[in-house]
Amino acid sequence: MQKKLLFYFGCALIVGGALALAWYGSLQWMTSRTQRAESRLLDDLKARGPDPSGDRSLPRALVILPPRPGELVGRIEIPRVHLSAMVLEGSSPKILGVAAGHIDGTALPGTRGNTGIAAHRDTFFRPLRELRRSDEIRVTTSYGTFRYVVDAIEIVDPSNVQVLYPTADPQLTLVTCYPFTFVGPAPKRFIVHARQRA
Amino acid sequence: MARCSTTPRSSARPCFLFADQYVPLIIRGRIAIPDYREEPAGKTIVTFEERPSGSPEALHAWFYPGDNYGVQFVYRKSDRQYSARSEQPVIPAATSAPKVEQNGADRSVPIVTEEKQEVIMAQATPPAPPENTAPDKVDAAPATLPDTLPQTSGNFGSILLFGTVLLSGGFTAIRFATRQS
Repeated sequence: MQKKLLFYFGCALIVGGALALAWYGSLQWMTSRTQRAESRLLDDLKARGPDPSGDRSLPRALVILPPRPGELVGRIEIPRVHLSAMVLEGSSPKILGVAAGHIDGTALPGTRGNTGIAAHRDTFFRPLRELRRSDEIRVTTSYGTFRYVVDAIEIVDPSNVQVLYPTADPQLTLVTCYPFTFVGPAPKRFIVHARQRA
Repeated sequence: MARCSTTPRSSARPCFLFADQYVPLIIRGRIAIPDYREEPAGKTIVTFEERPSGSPEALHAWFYPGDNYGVQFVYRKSDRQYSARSEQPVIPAATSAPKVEQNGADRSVPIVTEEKQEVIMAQATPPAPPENTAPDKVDAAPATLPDTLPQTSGNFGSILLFGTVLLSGGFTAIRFATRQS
């Protein structure tokens, strides 16, 4: 009787494990699909723009209306650590599940102020742990490509929103959880400050 | 001369993309209607709507040089509400601004703006940042910032770990049960 129970228990565990792995696979698939779709959209928008290879600061006359939650903001790339992720508007769990998120209330990339971008530490922003000062961060939007240089890295409490306060000049702040190897809700936040290149 | 096109339908909402040689404008308006002015000007005239201070400008109308007819953009009520909700506290906008001479070396086209009355205003032109400016934080916290930093601890790793442990446990239990028999 005990053997039979053990056998059924083992079967139940296998079914549960298979379901969990299937869930993981579906999340990965959704993430990959979203990234590909948004990447295509960004490339298309750039191709329609005036300067597809645009690698310069904002022109003097530029009007950008803020995107709505879930809409495309751009692509963030850090070549040295092989990080590349699409950025959508908003930082809700749903958005952060499929992309990096532009934090509500912060400046848009390339504009004056502090641009906040957040992503999960176990997906898109996992390579941040290898980041060093002076590394280059590239943010590509439909209205231009903007380069930032890592200025400082710090670890703060989740309540420390001062890191997102507006700045006088264009700045980029990346937010992810810390420690990187922590399982579950991490107690700290890993913050990367970067200045826009002149 | 500027050209106007619409973006393809995708996850992003339709928007108008104005692309001039030097002046790209990205407008998230669905509707553009003809507008008329009594006297055409020799320059491109762009009119902006009143929006909360600190928020991006919203185009109101666009007149080409020498034309009486231009384009007026109509924003949906939800757009205005979203903008008002997501941006800084409303500060009354100035009714006029000094005219800014366009620098010949600058790559921008000579655009001037007007607001409601026929007062020519300058394009929103951020002043050049002084050299070696430190990224000083503004003392006051914007009302639109979240109370805490985003929850960025994903459950991808946990799900993978959980599934693997369950599978391993299941196979171990079955092997143990069959071995005993």
